[in-house]
Amino acid sequence: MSLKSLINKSVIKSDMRRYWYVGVTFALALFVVTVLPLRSTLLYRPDTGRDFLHSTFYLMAQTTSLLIIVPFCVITPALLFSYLHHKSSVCETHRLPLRRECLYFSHLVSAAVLIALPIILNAAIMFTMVETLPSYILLWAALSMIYAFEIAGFSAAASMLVGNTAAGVMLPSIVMFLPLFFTGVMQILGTDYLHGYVASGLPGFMRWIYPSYANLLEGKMYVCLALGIVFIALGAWFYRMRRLENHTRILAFDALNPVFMYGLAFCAGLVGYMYLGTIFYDSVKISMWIGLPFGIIGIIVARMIISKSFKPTKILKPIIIYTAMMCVLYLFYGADITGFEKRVPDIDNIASVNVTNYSGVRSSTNLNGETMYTSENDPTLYNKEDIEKVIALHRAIVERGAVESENAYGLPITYTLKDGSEIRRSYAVTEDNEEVFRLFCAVQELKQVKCERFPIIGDDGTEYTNVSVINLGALTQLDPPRQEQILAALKQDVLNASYTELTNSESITRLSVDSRIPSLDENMNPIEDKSHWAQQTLEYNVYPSYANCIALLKEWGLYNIMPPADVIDRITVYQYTGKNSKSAILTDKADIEKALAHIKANVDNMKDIDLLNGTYQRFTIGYKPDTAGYSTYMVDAPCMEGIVFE
Amino acid sequence: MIEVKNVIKRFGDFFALNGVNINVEKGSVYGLVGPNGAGKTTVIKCMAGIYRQDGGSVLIDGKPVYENAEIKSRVAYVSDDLYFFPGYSIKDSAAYYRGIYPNWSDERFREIADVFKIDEKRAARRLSKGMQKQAAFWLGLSTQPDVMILDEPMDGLDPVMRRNVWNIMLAEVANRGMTVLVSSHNLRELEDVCDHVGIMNKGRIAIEKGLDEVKGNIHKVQTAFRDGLPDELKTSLNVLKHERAGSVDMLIIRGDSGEITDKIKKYSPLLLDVVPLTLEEVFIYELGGMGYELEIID
Repeated sequence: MSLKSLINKSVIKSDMRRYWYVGVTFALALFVVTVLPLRSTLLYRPDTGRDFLHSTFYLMAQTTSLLIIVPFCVITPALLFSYLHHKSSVCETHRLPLRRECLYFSHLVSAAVLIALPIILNAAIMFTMVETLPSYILLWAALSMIYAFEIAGFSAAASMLVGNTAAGVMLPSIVMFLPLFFTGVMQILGTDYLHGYVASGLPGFMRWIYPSYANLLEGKMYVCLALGIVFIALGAWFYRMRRLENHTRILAFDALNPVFMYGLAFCAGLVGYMYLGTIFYDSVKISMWIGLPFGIIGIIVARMIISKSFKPTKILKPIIIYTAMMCVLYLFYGADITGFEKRVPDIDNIASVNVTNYSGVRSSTNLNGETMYTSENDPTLYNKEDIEKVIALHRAIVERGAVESENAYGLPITYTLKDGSEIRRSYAVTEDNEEVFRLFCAVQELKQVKCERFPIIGDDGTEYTNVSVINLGALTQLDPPRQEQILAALKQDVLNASYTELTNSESITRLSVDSRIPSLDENMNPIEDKSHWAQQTLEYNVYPSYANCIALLKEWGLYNIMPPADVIDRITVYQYTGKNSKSAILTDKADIEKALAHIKANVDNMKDIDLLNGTYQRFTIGYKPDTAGYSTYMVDAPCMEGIVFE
Repeated sequence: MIEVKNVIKRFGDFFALNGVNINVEKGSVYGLVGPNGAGKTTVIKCMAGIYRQDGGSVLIDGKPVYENAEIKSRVAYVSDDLYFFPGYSIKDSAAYYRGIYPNWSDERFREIADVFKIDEKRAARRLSKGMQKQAAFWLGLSTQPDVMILDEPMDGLDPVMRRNVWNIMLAEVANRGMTVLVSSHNLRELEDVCDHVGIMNKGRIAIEKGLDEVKGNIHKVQTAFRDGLPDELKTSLNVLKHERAGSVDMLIIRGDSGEITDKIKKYSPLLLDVVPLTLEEVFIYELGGMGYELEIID
């Protein structure tokens, strides 16, 4: 089969003549979301550095141009193949001495021109504006075209499946949305009905349905290209199989009718569940069945659309099948037929377990838009005794069942089994059940787990560069020998502290620790040059149980030192009672001294504060101009006397 | 030239074509007639390569038509439901066809322009139905087809233009040996131009013969006997219809006219007159014999 037999110039010329406005609109839309913002950045920030400009352009292109590319790439093929949806045009076109492949690929070439030319044109305009950044613009143009290729291929394939143009635009939109929708449904049902279920992020395959420029930049753009080719090949096959007499129908292939019908039924069922389910939230067995009547309505509507009649026919069998599917769904979620909730893996099958939301490697984005990776303390538990503690806690939680409490501690558990698979759970732990809480504390006090919140006790090679003491906002720089002493003391105190002691979150005295964290390059290889390591500053409260730290700080005269009232400009006091609040501003020196004493006396009971319903106070201390900054403290205590609230 | 063999076409559970057989010889003008819903347009769309048949074969010069660009480039199809691209003039459509039909002839396009006298720069969609039909013939004939397939082609044309169009097509038949298959309800017109006729009913070809043969095989006989039409005579003839007006019997009889006349003469009729039937009458009586609702037509 020659290229000439696959592409006909007359068809392309005719497409261009009839649909030129699509390309022009696309070009204008891209101009508005890419060229104009770039021009604006350059006009108002002529000194813009390359990295800043790159990151600005990168973010802009990722968010806005993709939003423009997707609709145009869906609409363009749908319009080009709209002749399939009308009796006269389909006959006129298919009586021509052109094979279907020729028509299909000729229209695709037209689509490619209508989509690619605007991208190239805008890239060329940007090229002339920003001479120093051609590579980024080229990259934007290339990635945009690759993504456009995938979406347009998908839309072309979808156009072959439908019988009218509106459905041709709707189907790709719906199908693109469906994976997200069904993942959401599964996660909503799991979260509502399965104790311990973790609503994870999007499955990995979805990054190719909804790719970001970052995904494409990872060198996996070939997947998008390959998907585009697959979609185009599928479209050609669908076109070959298509019965032309099926124009004006919603779906051109009868085999798709059940997909449409049950899809609509599930959507309608979910909408009903989302809308009315909360009424019966306390009764799992009732709320899930709300999806049944709504789903049946969905089936009836689908049959009406398919048959283009207000008198739906052949609905009994689909309703029975849908009801059966709902029963399966109920057994899966409502009755936990799979034993999901009770499952605690056997210790012999477990390779490791992690009870935090972090791994040893973390990523962050710096101001230049570059991704930084750091290699920190790995919280994963490999030791059998440690894993046994987690299993004991897990079993106790399963035995206890779900709890409803606003004052609960979160407990994520991720088991990695020896076969490489993962089991993920997430629970809420309260202090009400003493046995569960005791086991929970035992797990939290394991060194690797504690390390996640207090990296000072870790041994990941972090280099400490500076330590300061902060007393209610007043900062004292320590000399290097004292820094070493206080770091050693802090490490020992944190190791010794119990979990309940560490849940206090306020203290007068804090230690500010600056450090450099071992970092990794893009390929996850360690960076040797410490000057390129990520910098971090953490503040550690000095709790009453920190005997070693307190001894040193007292010796140096730096523990629980309140700032003199002279350096304070004002203290704003907020009094919270349940959902109500009132405030007062203290500027009088005597009032400020009184407030400072009140803070000092009550600052360590933060852990008892019920933020939603309790009675507590918040103090915001504003310093005089020569002492920059402010600090905020919350105190759970009877209100100070003598304060006049506004 | 055109061979339609046992073609089946289903729309869901409905069999629009249920084993159609048509054979059109090269250089002939074939009239396809039949009641509404008989399947004429469906079989024509199969012949034009638009619909894919579910069974059987549609061949032109022994080659399948469906998805055969080479064969379709030799076929011009003028449908009852014409389509022109929005904003396209006849001149634009001609440019479009020029790039698609290898046998397109600008010279022929100019020649035929004198017949149709339509401003080729006018948007085709804004023309009247009759003028759009003319445009379709103009463009179709300019592709210099070997086969023209016409579905209700003269609908909307005035009598003069009908004659002009037929004259051009019959000239093509005579000069180039073009084959024409035409479906129409205007049987009077078909009678003038067709040399073969196929009558379709319920998705099948009921009769397919040369026009003379069709007309020569069915006769209207007016006769009268002293004692009325003898029963043995009536049973010996293939009588499709019998009416009596006074002492005169009017019979529609299928068979050879000589044999019919000989049989009747044996009974010494007072009156015997064999009148040739028009194609329309043949159509009505043949379909009446097949259960088509003749009474309503009468």
